[in-house]
Amino acid sequence: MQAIALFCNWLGATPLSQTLQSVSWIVPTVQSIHIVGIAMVVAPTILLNMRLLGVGGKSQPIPRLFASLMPVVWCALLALVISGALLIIAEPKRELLNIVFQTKMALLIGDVASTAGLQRWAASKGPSPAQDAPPPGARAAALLSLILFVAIIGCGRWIAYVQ
Amino acid sequence: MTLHSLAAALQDTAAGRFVAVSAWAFPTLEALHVLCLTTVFGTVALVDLRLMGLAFRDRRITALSAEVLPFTWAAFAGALLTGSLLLSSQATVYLANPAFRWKMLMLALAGLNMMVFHLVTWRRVQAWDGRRDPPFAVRIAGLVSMALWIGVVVFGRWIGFTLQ
Repeated sequence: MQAIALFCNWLGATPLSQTLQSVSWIVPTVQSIHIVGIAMVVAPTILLNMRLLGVGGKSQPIPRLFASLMPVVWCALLALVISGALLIIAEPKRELLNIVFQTKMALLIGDVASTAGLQRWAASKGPSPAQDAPPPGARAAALLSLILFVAIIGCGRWIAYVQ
Repeated sequence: MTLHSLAAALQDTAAGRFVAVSAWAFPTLEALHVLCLTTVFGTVALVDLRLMGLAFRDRRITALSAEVLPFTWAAFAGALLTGSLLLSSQATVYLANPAFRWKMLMLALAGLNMMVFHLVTWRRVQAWDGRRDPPFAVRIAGLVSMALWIGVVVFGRWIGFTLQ
């Protein structure tokens, strides 16, 4: 933890960090972008996972649904990484030394991995009928993914309340 | 019965007083509020992107809306409930906050925009349902919707930074 604390001190002293901290509208604006990014991950993810769990419209085959929605998710994730990095640079200690933030990052890695796995599975299904009931493994992964990102969002908000 | 007296009555309810004093209720409600509002914004955005002809151009607008909007409504109900509980913790303070008032205005305008779209523009949907490039009025509806909902998010975030 000493190394992280030293890194935070160094990062917090950089000109970029100083600028982000001193111009009052930057952090709220970047946070708003972060929230929009969350929305563009959450909405497609809910649609996809709910579909795998048998909830919601079935007008599209699962592989097609994944193919059309996953690009939105990955673009949004990129925006989240960039805006998230800026938020860390603006307030290094508040994030990097915070156990809730560290938990959020661990959960995020898990969720990205399980989502990528689901995407690979969906792509490998080929031109199957739209009404195919997904195997239990895929349904479990979908439920896990949903639970994980609810936890991630919870952690995101709780960072502000734990130090 | 002024708005202020309504707010005072709201924060005097058992729920309002509970959220105000509990250490965990407010952050938990906030987290649930974020979950609901991001679901509302994201699902609305998916439809708006289609209305603007920017994404999912191969899908019929009616089909996309039918699949997405039930989630939008469920999430909106959740956002309304969590938002009301958050508000009840110190309703008079929020009422006096400019960012909160702007957020409510944006929300009302977003709702109005959706109402006009569904009552007027939607009546001729069969004519442009499958079009990769929807008509101008439809694209404007999508753009206005996105702008207003972004306003809701931005002003919502500003409340936290400007609360007295």
